[in-house]
Amino acid sequence: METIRKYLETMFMSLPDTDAARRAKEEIMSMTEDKYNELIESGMSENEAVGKIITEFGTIDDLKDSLGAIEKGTVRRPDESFKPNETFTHGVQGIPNPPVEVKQVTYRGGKSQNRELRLISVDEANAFLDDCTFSRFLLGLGVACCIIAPTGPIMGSAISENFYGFFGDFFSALGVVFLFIAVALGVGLIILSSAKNKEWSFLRRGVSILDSVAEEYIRNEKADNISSKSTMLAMGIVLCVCSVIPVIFFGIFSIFPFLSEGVGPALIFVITGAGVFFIINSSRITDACDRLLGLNA
Amino acid sequence: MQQISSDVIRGYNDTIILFLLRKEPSYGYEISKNIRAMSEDKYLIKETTLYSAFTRLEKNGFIISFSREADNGKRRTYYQITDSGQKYYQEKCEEWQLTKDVIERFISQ
Repeated sequence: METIRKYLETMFMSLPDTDAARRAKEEIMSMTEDKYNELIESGMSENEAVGKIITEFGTIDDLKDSLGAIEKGTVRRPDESFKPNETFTHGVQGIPNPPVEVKQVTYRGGKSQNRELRLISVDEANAFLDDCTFSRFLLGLGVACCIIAPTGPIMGSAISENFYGFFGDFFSALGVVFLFIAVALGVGLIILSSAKNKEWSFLRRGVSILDSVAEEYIRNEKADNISSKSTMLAMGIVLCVCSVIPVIFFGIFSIFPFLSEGVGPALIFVITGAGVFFIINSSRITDACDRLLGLNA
Repeated sequence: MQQISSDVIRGYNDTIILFLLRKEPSYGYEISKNIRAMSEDKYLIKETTLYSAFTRLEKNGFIISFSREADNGKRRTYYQITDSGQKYYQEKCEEWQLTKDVIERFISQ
């Protein structure tokens, strides 16, 4: 029912805020509520009922004519001499309705008075979700690259232990080169990720709201992703905690110094990097959904 | 399935509503439900169309509205036909007979 209420609110935003419009909204809301209750009683699911009501709903243009007519035309009181039937005088209140007062037209802009309200459709919401997800993915990858970067020098020096002279220096240098390349790549990805988000900065200005269909869609999308969010988060945390296992393992069973001093420590960074990647990405869809839903709050 | 054209039926929404109100006062959803039932699901009137019709009819003095509490405690706007509404309904019925008579001459199966 809340969805329908929002839908109607949105529909009526394009109408001037007059008594007539307010009465129309109340009356249509009441009809819709009756219909909704009956559909639910007939065993229809909430989503089906909302869908049915919205598809069967007329357009606001149907109302513009009659509301406009009331404001422009002279409003005549219904026949004063008319008396309601005896049987129906019981409980009758305030008949007939008083003439409609014409008020100064003020457009309701919702959160902002003068700026135009921007309605976000399902397609737009979906595009936002895609962009947010991708941006989060890039951010995760960028951070992971930065974390993995130190493995270069570690592995480089571990390998160079096994060589002398030129090859030893070569591997050490290669490790350092890897460090810089990985950091550069990581920073690049992080910058790219925030650039991707800039396109949607208008959302932050607080003049946009979701249309009701989009809101319903986003709500479902969020619900669908909650379980995968916790799985990814748990996996990320487990990876971070377990990152020290290889180094402990190689430390206890020190077979080669190459393993205990090179592979072990390097794996800390690799596994932590993967863990952080998962943690950052776990909430990529739900956070985007929350941001969209927050617009209507 | 062939759907009823809203352009064609528009001129007779008033007649349909007045017909239903002749028996007893009623409220929005009940009227739309009765229209649906009587037309055997062939005509679903939209809420916005129905409300426009109410305001138009009321403006012309064919119906009056009043607020009444239903059994479940919900307050609803009820609509009741007036004497001039009854007269208007008769006129519309005659108009329809004429319209039907004319149009049918041009319909071939």
